[in-house]
Amino acid sequence: MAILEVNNLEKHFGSTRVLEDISFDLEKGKALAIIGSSGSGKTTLLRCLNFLETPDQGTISVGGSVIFDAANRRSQTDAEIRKKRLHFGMVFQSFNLFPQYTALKNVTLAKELLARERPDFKANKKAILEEIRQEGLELLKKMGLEQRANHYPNQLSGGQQQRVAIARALALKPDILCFDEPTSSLDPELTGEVLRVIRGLVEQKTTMIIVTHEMAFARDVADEVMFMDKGVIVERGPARQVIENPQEERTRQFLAGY
Amino acid sequence: MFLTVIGALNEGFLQTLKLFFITLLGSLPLGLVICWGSMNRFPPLRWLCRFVVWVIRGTPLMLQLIIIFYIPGMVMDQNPWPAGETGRFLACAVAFIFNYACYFSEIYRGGIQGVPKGQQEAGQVLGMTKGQIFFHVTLLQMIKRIVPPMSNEVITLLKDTAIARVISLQELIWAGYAFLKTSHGYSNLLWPLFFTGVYYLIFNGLLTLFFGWLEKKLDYFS
Amino acid sequence: MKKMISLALALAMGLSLAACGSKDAKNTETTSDLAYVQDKGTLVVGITEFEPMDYQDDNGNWVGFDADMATLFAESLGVDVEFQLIDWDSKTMELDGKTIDVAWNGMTLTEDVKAAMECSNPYFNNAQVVIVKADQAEKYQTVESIKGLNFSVENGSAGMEQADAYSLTYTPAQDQATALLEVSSGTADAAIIDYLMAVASTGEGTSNPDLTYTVSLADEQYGVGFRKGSDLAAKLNEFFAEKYADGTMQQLAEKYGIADKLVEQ
Repeated sequence: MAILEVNNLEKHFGSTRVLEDISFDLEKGKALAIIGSSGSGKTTLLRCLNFLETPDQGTISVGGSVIFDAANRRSQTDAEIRKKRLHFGMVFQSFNLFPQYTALKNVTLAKELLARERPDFKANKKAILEEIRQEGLELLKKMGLEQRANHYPNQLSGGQQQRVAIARALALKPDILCFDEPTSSLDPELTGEVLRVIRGLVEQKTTMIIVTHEMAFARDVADEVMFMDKGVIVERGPARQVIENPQEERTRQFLAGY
Repeated sequence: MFLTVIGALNEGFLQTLKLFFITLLGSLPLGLVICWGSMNRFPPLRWLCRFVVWVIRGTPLMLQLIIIFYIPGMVMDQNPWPAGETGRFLACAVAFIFNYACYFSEIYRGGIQGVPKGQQEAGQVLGMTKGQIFFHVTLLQMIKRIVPPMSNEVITLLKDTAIARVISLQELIWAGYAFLKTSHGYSNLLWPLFFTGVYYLIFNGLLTLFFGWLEKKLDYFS
Repeated sequence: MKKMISLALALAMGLSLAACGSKDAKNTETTSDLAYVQDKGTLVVGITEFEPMDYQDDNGNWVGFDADMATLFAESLGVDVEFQLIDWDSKTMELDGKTIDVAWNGMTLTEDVKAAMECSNPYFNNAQVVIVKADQAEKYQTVESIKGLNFSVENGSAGMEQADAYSLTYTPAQDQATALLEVSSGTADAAIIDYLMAVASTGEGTSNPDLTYTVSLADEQYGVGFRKGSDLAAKLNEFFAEKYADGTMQQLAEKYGIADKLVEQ
């Protein structure tokens, strides 16, 4: 069964239509790569899934229940949106780490704040915080950053920062992890370490949507590839097939540039 | 003579310091409220806050002091300010707090707007509330950004307290100036007025050190 | 919910602003100033430090001819006296703003003062005198001889009125002390100040041993100023008459060394 279902999503910025009738679904444990030139709407799509933008039309469902419906979006309270967006994790192009906190604190902050809402937080404060800390260290270890837990972002390389950001997104155990061009801000020699981490996540069957310009990576790592142009989905299929043998003319033209 | 003068100046300086600290205590948080109002999505509140900021920043503090202290008694049967020094000090505190809150609110606004939007978004996607994002993500980054302009403003505040003498608050400059006329039995003494400069210099030196320390303290991130 | 809070806050701020403006209408019934002062129980006396009229003794209490008279006057009204140092330039504003009740500090009764305040009868004879350097005093003993000098006079003072009346060249100064400073530092040739002040602060044994006073330009008188329309002025006139009749005023004037200039009440 599909964990994510997107139906007829539409988004305008003023009079510009950025997304037009976007519908797709994603199976649990699969990795979907979205490719396309800049301005094709792929980043906006990710931002809609994460409630950073509000779509004008359409619905988004996770695990069978509708979490967003443009028809009655006004009825959503901030608290409800907050809960629903936790279905998704987001890794930004520019990392967006919190500069005033260590790598570890970046990973654990949101979880600590969430834990405060637990009724037993006051009673077990120490134990809960220690548990969160251990989980955070574990995640950093998975990212190969156990030595960097107490470093501040400005003491880390771009690749290390992005790996901290991935750990931060994973900390809340989202159903679907979204990557918005995770290597575009990195020097070429640093992209490898980030891509290796993402490849590891694919092997562990993490459900992911990856907006990327790394065609070879999309082909080798993703299960499926979706090509977007001018706000619509042009083509979608198994990764190797779309990259190596695209069916649509527009896809072919786009890939010819790589 | 020297001791008498120093005693009088100390008394004035105490008033100066009292006004200085009470103004900070009131205007630092009030500035945040005005800043929140002037960035609010609800237009009437936003316009009102920006209007107030415009009026208060656009008119001399000296004029505000005169208006706030004298006008109420002219239009009402009785002056609402408490009698004696207390009333004068209270009027000064209110005018200074409002005035500086407006300046601070604009500095805060610049500071908040200077924090990249991505920081807020990162907090949002991690399920934080607006309050949590402000206090745990934005605030410290904003503080780091506003330390240099704030240190300027705070040093100016210390010197601006001298304006309070327009409604006869007996602060440091008043105390020094009084000796030029007659004070504590001494007349036509010029040096006490100049000597007040030493007080301002020393205290501003301490402020400069404090802000330098604060800036260094926040140097660990960028 | 959030909009409600915003709206409430906007309203509250708006109202408080409006409240400042809406009270104007309420000035109809002019209650007696005497009743107002007796009702609140204190007479706030606006002063500056001005020996021998108002100055602090060693214990920090305000004494002097004016201070003592004010204390007695408050006593006769059955209220406490409170002395408030003020910026003398703001005295009318202080009165109108009800932040003081009376300006009582060796105040010269000029036309401007009489127009702005309800004044008592004069109680003391004063003069405006010309201040020059002591070593040049011989040259400037007549009104004619001072015409070419550059003067320094307190802004808005009786001295400035005289400078205008005699068409003298002058620069306004902050106060009389500054005017004296200008003369001793040579930035002005001469100053015009109160006779009382001239006696107290020029010549041997004062803070300006190098200065002296020469020509007397105008005889003038001191009075006490209340809010315009106040019934306290008449009350004070009665009080003066009473205290002159029983000799209290003369005794006090004697005590502060100004008996020769006291005006008969």
